[in-house]
Amino acid sequence: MRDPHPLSRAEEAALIAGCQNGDPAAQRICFDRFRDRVHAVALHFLRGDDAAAQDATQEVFVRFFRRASAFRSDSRLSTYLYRATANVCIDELRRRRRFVLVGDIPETLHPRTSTVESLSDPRLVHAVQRLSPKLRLVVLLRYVDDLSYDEIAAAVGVSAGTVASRLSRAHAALATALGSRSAGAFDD
Amino acid sequence: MTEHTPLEPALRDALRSSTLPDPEQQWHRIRGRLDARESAPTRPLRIAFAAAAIVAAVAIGAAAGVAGQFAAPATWPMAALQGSIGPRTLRAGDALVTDEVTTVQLDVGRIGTATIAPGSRVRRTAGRWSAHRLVLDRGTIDAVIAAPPRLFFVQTPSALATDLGCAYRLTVTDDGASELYVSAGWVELEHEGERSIVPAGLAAEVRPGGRPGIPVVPSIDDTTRLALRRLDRGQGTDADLARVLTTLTSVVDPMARQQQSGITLWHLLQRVDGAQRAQVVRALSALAPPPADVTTEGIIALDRPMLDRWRRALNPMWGEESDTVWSTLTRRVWYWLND
Repeated sequence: MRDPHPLSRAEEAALIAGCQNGDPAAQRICFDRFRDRVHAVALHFLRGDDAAAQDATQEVFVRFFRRASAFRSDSRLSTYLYRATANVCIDELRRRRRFVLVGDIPETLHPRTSTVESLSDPRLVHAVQRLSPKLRLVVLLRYVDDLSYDEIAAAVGVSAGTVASRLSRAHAALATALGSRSAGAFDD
Repeated sequence: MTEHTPLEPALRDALRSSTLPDPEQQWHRIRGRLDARESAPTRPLRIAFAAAAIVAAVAIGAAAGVAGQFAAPATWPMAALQGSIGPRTLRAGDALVTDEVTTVQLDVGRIGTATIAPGSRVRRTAGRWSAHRLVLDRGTIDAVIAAPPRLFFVQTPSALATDLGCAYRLTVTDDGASELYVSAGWVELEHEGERSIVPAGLAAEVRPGGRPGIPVVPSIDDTTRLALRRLDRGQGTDADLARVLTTLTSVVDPMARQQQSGITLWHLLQRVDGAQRAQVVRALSALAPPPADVTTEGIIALDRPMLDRWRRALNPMWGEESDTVWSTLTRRVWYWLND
C-alpha cells in the first residue's frame, strides 16, 4: 500500500501549506493520498470493526484540517497522520467500556468488512488484531506502509530501539499464535 | 535483526488489502464537519448554558421531580424476544449486535423501548445534551417513545432521526441508506442542515450523502414515487409535477389529504423553484388554505416563520413542537440533571 509516487519534500510542503490555508483542493488531495492507509491502520487497530474504522478515518482528517496551522514543518505528513490515527483509535478503545455481542461473533461483527473476511490468510490478520495495542501499532505501521524504524518511532513517540524491540516481540507473539506455520519464521 | 522473514510478505498482503469504503461519502462528511465548525457552540457558551441550567434547577425544584421521571439510568435493560442473549443491560459505549435469529427489546431509559431486529448493529452513546442516544449502523429498530420531543436520537450513516414524541421504524440498508416509517407522532430527519419532518402515516428515505427525502405515504404508486424523487433532486419535469399533484390532491379522505398529502406538498414546494414552486403552492392552497397571516409571496420566498405556521395548520400535532421559552428552559434543566 506504500505510495507508488511519494511526494517530494517540496510537494509535501506545498500540500501542507494548502491545508493550513484551508484550501479544499489541497485537503482533498491529502485525503485521497492517505485515506486507504489511515483506514487500514484504523481497521486493524480496532480489530476489524469497519464502522468504527471509518469513523476514525474521518476524525483523523477532520483533526488535521482543523489543526493544520499547528503542523510542524520538520515532521512528515504521514508520520503526523499515523500518530493522529493511533490517538483516535486509542480514544475509541478507551470509550468502549465493553462490547456486547449476541450470536455468532465473527460473522455478525464483520458483515460489511469484506476486506477482513476476504483476506488470503485471516488467521494472520486475527493474530495481528490480538496483539497488545503497543505491538499492534508498530506492526501496522511497519507492514501497511513500510515505514522505517525511525518513521515509526516518530509516529509512536518512542525511540527507534523501542520500535525494534516491539517488532521483535510482535514477531515472536505472531509466531506463537500461528503455531507450526511460523515456527522459525521470525529470526530476530 | 532480520528485515525479511517468510511471514513479512504475508503480513504486507494481509494488512494492505483493505480500502476505505465509499470515499466520496466520507469526504462529504469531512467537509460537512469542517463547514459546520463555525456554528458549533463554543466552550464558554456551553459553560453559560450549564450555569443557567444550575440556576434554573434551583429555582424550579418541582421541575426536577418531573425531569426525574425521564432520567436515563446508567444501564438500559434488554431482553431477547426471540433467540437468546447473554448480557442483560446496555450502557453508554456498548454495542449490540444481533445475529440472524435474535430480536432484542431494549428499554430506552424510562422513556420508551426500542426493538432491535435480527441482523442489526446498534451502539449506545452518551452526549452532553442527549442522554438517550443510539447509533444504528445497520438493520432495523422499532422505537416507541413516550417523552417530550427531542430526548431520543438515532444516528445512522446517512441521517440523524430525532424523536418528536412518537413510534417509528428505522432501517439502515446495506448501502447505508436510511428508511423511516412513522406510525405515531412525528420524527425529524436531518443531514447537514437539511431536514424533513415526517408525521404519522408517512415514510421518508435518506440516501448516503444526500438530503432527507420528501415524506410520502408508503402506499403511493411507483410512478408517482419516482416522479417525486426526481423533483426532490431537482431533475423533475413538468410532467412529473403534474403526476405528483394529481395523485396527491385526488386522495378521497379529507383528513389524509390535508395531513399527509399536504405535508408532502409542503416539503415539495421547498425543493422546487420558479414556476414549479408556484404551481405547488397553488395546489397546496386549494387543498388547505394557508392561515390568514401567511401570504403567497412569503411562501414563494420561503419565509421560514410563514412556512412553519402553514405547516402547523396542516397538521395540528405539530403545534406541540413549538419552542417556548418555558419548554426550552425545562429541557435544559432536564438535560443538566441527566448529564
